[in-house]
Amino acid sequence: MAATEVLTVNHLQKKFGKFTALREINLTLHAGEVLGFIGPNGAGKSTTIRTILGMLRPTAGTVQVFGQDAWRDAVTIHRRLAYVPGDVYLWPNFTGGQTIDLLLKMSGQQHNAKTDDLIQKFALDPSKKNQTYSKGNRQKIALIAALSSDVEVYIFDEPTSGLDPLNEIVFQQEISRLKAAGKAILLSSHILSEVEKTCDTIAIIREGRIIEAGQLTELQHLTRINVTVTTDQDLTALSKLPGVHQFQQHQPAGQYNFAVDSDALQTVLQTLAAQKLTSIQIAPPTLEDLFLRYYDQGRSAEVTTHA
Amino acid sequence: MLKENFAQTGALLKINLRRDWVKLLTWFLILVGLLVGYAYKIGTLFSGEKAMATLVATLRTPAMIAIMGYIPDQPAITEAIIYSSEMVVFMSLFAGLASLLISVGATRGAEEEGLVELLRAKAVGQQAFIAAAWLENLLLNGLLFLTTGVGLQFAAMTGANAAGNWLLAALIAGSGLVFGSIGILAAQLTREGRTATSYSLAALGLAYLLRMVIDVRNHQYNWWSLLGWPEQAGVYYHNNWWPVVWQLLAIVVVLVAAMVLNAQRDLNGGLIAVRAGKTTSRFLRGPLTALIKTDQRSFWAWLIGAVVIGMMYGSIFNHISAIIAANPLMQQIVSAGRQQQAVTQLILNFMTLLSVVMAVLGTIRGQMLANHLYLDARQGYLELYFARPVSRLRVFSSYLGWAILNAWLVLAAGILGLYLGSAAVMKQPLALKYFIRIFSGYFGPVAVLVIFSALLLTWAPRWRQLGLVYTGIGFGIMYFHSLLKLPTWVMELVPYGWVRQVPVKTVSGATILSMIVISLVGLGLAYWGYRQRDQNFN
Repeated sequence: MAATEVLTVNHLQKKFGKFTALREINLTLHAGEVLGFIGPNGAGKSTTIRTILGMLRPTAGTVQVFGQDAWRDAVTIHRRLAYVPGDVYLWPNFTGGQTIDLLLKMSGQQHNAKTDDLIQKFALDPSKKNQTYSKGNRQKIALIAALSSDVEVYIFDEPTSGLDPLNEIVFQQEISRLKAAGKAILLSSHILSEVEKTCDTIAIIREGRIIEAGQLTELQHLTRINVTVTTDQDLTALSKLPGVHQFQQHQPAGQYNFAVDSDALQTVLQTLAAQKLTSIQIAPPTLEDLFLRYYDQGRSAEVTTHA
Repeated sequence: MLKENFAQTGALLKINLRRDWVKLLTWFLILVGLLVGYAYKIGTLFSGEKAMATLVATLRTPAMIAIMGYIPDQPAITEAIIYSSEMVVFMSLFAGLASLLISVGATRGAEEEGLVELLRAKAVGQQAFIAAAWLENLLLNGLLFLTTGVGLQFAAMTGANAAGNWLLAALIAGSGLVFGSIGILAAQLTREGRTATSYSLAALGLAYLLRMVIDVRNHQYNWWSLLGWPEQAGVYYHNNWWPVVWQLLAIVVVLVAAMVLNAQRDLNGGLIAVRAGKTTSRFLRGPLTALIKTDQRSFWAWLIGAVVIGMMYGSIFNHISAIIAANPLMQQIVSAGRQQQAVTQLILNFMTLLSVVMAVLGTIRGQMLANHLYLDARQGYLELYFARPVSRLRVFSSYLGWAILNAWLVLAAGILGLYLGSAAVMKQPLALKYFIRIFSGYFGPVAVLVIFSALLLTWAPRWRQLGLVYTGIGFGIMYFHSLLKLPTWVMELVPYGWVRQVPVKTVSGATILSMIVISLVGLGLAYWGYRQRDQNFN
């Protein structure tokens, strides 16, 4: 699919005084693609997003949206874009309904049937004053305004951090709807299951650097595979093999649990084949594993045996 | 029970001091510097009987009484008595201002930041925040009392006595504590720190204005004003300690009220519950309308406040003419027709000072609004604008436009109040043209100062408060130039000085034109700076 690039971030760097928040950021987002942007708190997710939105000026590198410069052409770009910040701060003394309408008006959009539909789905009481809303409810207001806008790119910065599970499902459904409609979506999160469920591609950011980016399927080769084996034989020798991690033995059922580096799988399976096994389960890695592997690099390298 | 309510007060006080020490130290140095510095200098500033006599004559004019407080009629006026008449009201006002700002910050401010919620979940007593804020006040004012007392002892003004020195120090520190406690009380009433500050500032302003009106008419009655109490002590001649007792009683009453309210209200809540409202608004469409709506309470408060202040000043104009009429010397020298002219001239001279007050009110309003460009960005409100097709220029001009417009509106409201107040009390009211002259003179300097704040904001946001400081300095220079015998060039360091003859004379077209040019260039530069900046002022 030769979809058009809607967002291109090249060698982006951002300093705040002496502090370097972003060192090297490269991102691309195509029409119809959902890009998951993951990283721990303080890695630079929000800074990157604000730079994409032209709120922060890049120290070096380029950020282009729809082929236009994110800083210079912010106004033109934003006609075709919707955004939900991670922390939503709303003007006090406006009601929720007034705020949603104001946000829509400023985007050049109208309060429409979709807006009412979303207010109902998210179960928001629009007659309350903003200062009485909880974090989750403030987030809903920004979400409703963004999701009922008809634009080409949607950017969400940790959108579900304040939502309850029911509202989270509503959000996932909305993402699927946008995806089906061919919209481009950038979704930042530190909640891995959220990204895993909805994203085609992911980019992992750590300490201001994109350390890994690509299709979810491509990235999985980099990670370990979870193996669960039941046997009445002693498999402790396995833990000595290179590439075997988090080796756990569950007594007395004779169940073993461990992770294997993908490139070591061959050797491990050969060793296992020589044993008498009752059952074997091989599970593809979850994003969680992937994530932990990158963030825990220092530690996990040493943890080759179980604790 | 009592112990539980105040648990961890000491720990909180330590936190407060660590957070506020720069503020506390700055206020302390300003207050002590003025109090002790002036005591040392008063002898050299007004050396010689002639200088003293002129000073006393100036201080006895209604204009000066209105501003500084009354000066006793007893014949033996000494340096010390002049000092106390000049300083006791004004420094009480400042001590009150410092204390209430600190109180609100330490109570409602901390609550707004979520600090109270965080700490109340620990073993921190319900009343501990109030107690810690009050102790912080006590520390500031206690040190102020000691340092001022000792400083005055060493300054040894002629006519000073130890009892008077310590009484003066106690009265000023007492005023500080009274208004500090009022700040704590106001913080219990409303949800927002800003509103709490406004309430307590209103109490301070009202006390000052009430004292002004009473002093000009009949100073015996100024028991009615909290800022009249320090005058009633008659420092250095009566040395009456009763006002200090009154202050202590007031502190206890206010503090108990604050604690009772605090015990009854919810965390993060005020006494007035927030009601639900309409879900739609025809008015709201963009940054400007959103700003106007969020600002509407302040908008009316400032306008009404300015009209009231103007009216109070205006209402003393007839006393100025009465004093001249009663002066036998005056009657001998000038004929009846001339007398009227002399009265007008005198009032116009007084109005050159009052114009500065109105201009300062307008300027402060404008500068505070301009600062919202920074504050709202830091609060995260502007993030929602800039994610939309809303340009920097639109946001900048909305905030700056609203700021300058409001600065002018407050200036105009103050002048209107002055006109209404004077027209109501004077037999031969002043012509409207003088009031229009004030506006046409001061709209320029006011705009220049608001734009100065905008420039600081967009080029050096760290120093954004310097705009208000500059205004404060300008006020001081303009207000006290005759007392301090400042040369003209010093006055011209501040924009107000460029139009200092208003309304006695009109401002020249060239001056107006140059202020317009300065404003436009300043606005351009400020916008240019804003354009370059990260939206959230990082």
